[in-house]
Amino acid sequence: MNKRDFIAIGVVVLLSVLGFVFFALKGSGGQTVKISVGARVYGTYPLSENRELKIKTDAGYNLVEIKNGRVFVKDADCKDKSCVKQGEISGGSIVCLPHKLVVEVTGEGDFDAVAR
Amino acid sequence: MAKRISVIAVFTALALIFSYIEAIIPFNLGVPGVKLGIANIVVVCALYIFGVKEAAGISLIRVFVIGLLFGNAVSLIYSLSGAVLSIAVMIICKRLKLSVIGVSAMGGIFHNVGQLSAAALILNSSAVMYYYPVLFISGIVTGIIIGIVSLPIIKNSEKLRS
Amino acid sequence: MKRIIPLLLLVIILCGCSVTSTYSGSFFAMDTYMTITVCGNNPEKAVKKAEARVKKLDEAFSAHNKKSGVYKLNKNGSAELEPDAVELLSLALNNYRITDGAFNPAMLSVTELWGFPDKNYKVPSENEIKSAHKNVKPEKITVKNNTVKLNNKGMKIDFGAIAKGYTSDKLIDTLKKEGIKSALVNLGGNVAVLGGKPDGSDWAVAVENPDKKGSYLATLKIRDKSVITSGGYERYFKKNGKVYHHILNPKTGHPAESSLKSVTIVGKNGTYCDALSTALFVMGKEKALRFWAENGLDFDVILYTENGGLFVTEGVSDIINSDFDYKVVKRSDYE
Repeated sequence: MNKRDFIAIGVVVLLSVLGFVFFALKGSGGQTVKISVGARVYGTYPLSENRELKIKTDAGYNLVEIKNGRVFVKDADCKDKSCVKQGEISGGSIVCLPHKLVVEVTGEGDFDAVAR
Repeated sequence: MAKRISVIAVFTALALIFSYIEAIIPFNLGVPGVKLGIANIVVVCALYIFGVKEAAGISLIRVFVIGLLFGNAVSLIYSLSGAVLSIAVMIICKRLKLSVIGVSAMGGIFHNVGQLSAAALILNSSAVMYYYPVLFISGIVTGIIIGIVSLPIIKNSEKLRS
Repeated sequence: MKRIIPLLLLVIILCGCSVTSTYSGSFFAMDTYMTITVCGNNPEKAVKKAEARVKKLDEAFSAHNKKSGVYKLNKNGSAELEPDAVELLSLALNNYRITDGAFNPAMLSVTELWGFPDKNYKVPSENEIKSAHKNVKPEKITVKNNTVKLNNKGMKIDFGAIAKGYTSDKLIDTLKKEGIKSALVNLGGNVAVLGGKPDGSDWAVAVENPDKKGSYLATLKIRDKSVITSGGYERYFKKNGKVYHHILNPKTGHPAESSLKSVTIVGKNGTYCDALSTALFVMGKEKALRFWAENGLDFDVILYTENGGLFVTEGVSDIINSDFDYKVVKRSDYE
C-alpha cells in the first residue's frame, strides 16, 4: 500500500464521520403531521410546510392549519370546540372526539407519549 | 484477440462461481450481513489485467446473472447500485494511482455505500444511515483482504494479457 | 457484502425491535382516543387483542351505555356487574377510604347537575347540589358475588376517574400474556409502559403544560410504570366570567377549589395512579404532599400550582428533565 491509499481511505472515512455527525446532530427533522378520521388516515404532511386543510366528513367540518412547524385546528363546527381550544402543538396530538378527527405529530420527537 | 475474449469469459464464469460459493457457504466475518465478496477478486484482477471496460462488463454480467438466478427485483437493485458505484470508484482510484489494495478497499467501501443508499431510498428511511459506520469498517477490511489476494494474481498474469 | 437482506435485518435490529417488529393501533373508546404501540413477535395480533379487551371493558364500565351493568345499577339501584367492574368497584371504594373521600366514585348524580357527562354545561342551584350531594354515601354500597347494591336512592356511581388507569393495567397484563416485553399504552393521555423501548432505552413521557397546550412541564424517563395526569384544564366551561372545571370536590359538590393546575402521578399501578391523580388534585398542594409523604412508597407526584410552581417528589427527581425551575420535595420534609 502506498501513501495515496492512506490519503484516499482517510479522506473517505473522515467524510463519512462528518456526515454521520451531521445526521446525528441535525436529526432527520422529518416530523410529519398525520391526520386521521376514525380508522382512516386522511393524509400525512410535513410539519415544516405551511398549509391549510379543510376536512369535511359525514361527522362534520374541521379546518386544520400547519404553520411554522406547529399545527392547530383553526375552526370546527362541533359543539364544544375542544379541538380548537387545544391550541398549537408541535408534538403529541389534537383530538376532536365528536368528529373522530385526530391530528398527530409523529417523527423524531423527544418523547414517546404525552400525559395529560 | 480470441484468446483474450475466452479468458475474459473464464473470468466472468469465475466471478459467477465465487458468488455462488458465497451464496451457499457464507464467509462469516462475525457481523451479520457483512460478506467477504470474493467475486470482487475477479473484478479487481480484471481491472488491472484487462482494463476498465472488461472489469465493468464482468461485474455487471455477474450482478444480472446472479440476480436472475438467486435474487428478486429488489435484491437486484441493491446489488446493481453497489456494483456500479464500486466499479466507478475503483476506476477513479486506479487513475489516481492508488495501489491494488487501496483500489480494492475503496471498492469495498463504496460497494456498501451503494447498497445502503439504495436501501435508504427504497425503504424511504433515514434510519438506515446509522448502519454506515459498520459498513465502512467492514468495507475497508474486506476490501483490503480482496486486494491482498488479488495482488499476486495480477503480478503473475503476463500470459493472460497477451 | 453481496446480499442485502441479512444486512437489512441487522439494520432493523439496530434501529428498532430485535428480529421482531413494531405495530401501533389507534382507536376511539371510553370517550377518548387511544393508541397502543407494541414491539415483539406478531405485535399486530397483540394490539388487536388489547383493543378487543378495551372495547369489552368500555362496555362494562360505561355509565351511559344502556347495555352496561353500571348503567343498570345506577337506574335500578341494584345489578349484576361484569367481574372486571366488580373488581374495579372494590378498588375504587378502597381508594375512597385511603384518600379520606377525596376520591369518590359515587358522585355521578352531582356531576350530571353540572352537565359534564353530556357537555350541556350549567351552574346548578345550591339546593339542587345539596339534595343530590346528600345521597352520596359510598359506604352504603354492598357487593355480594357479582351483584352490587347501592342501597341509597339517588346515588349513582361512575368510573370516569379510575377506569382508564385500570384498563391500562389490564392491557399491560394482556400484552404480557402475549409474550410482549416492550409496549406503550396511551389511553387519551393516561400513559402506561411495559419494559423499556425496543432499543433498550427508557420510554420518554412528556407531561403537558396546562398553561400552554403543545408545550410541556417535563419529560420523564420510565419503564414498567404509569404516568397519569389530572387537571381542571382538561374540561371546563365559563359562565359569567367564572371558570368551572370538571373535577368536583366530593365534600362540597362544587369544582375543587384547588391551588393546583395539574397533578401527575407516576407509579407501578395504573388504577391507583389514576384515582390518586384526581384525589390529590382535590386535596390541594399541602394535603397532597403530606399524603404522598405518608403513603407514597409506590408512587411519585408532580404538582403544578396556580401560580406556576412545579413541585416533584424525590422519587422522580432523577428521571425528570424539565426547563422549569422545579422544587424537589423530600419525605424527610414532612417528618
